[in-house]
Amino acid sequence: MSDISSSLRSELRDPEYSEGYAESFLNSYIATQIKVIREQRGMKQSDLAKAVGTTQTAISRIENVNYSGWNTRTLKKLARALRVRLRISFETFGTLPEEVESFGRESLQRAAREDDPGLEERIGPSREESIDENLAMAASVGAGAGAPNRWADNLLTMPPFNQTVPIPPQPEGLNAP
Amino acid sequence: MPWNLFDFTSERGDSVIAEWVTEEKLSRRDVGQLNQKLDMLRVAGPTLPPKLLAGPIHKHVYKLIIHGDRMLRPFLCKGPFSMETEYTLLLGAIEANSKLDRSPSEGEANREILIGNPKRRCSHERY
Repeated sequence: MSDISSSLRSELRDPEYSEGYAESFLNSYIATQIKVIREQRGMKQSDLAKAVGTTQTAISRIENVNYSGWNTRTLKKLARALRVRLRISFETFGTLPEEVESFGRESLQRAAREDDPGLEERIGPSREESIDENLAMAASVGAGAGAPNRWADNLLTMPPFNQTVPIPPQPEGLNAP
Repeated sequence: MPWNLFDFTSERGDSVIAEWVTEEKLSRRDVGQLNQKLDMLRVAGPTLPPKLLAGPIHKHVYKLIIHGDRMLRPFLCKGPFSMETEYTLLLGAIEANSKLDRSPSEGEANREILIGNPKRRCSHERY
């Protein structure tokens, strides 16, 4: 643990101190992340201003570690213009030292929607290929036991994943009090 | 790369910033805000967080901006020995009605004393 982390963990137990520190960190984080993502997109302040329908002066004001006048409406507009989502969440004070330590350009950058690796189509085996693999595995297990392999049989008769299976009618009186 | 922070010291060897925090009876909330800005300077450097520092307000002197209950504006300079790895806090100052209660030239004077005597500083103390 670094010097900052160990000292901060102890300091943040003081309610007045922790509120001052956390609010100041929030303002610094918001201002710096807007600047970092804007630069990541290759945008000038005037480009971002145009995208959200405001002035370059307003963007300059919000890109200031001491500015605290932003609201969720403004932040949502900025998120839309930067092609990222806005997340607002309440956090414990104990997670703050780690956030302080990792604060840097790389940790603040976010991919735009179109470049988001989390949204890339997953490449994997098709349903038919999966069934073939499972059948082969089931056959090898069942062969040793010398018993009919019900699991493999059921797999062959399974409906496609996107098909609704009708539920058989329940006997009357099942839900009766 | 993290930056190293130092405090200018009085002739007795005490941090002038630690003395200022005590003399001004800064609230714990203001101290929290002051330490947050200094931690940010140490971790991220002077250019990544926008408008963390203002200046130079006089020769080599910058001021750290803290919008707390009181407008804290401690003076600092880059280096002065290793210009790419360190900052030295020179003097505590407070702004009221857009006026500083200390002259930035006092900060520059402390910097010159330090250049003449590199022992007149200590590793930055947390308050």
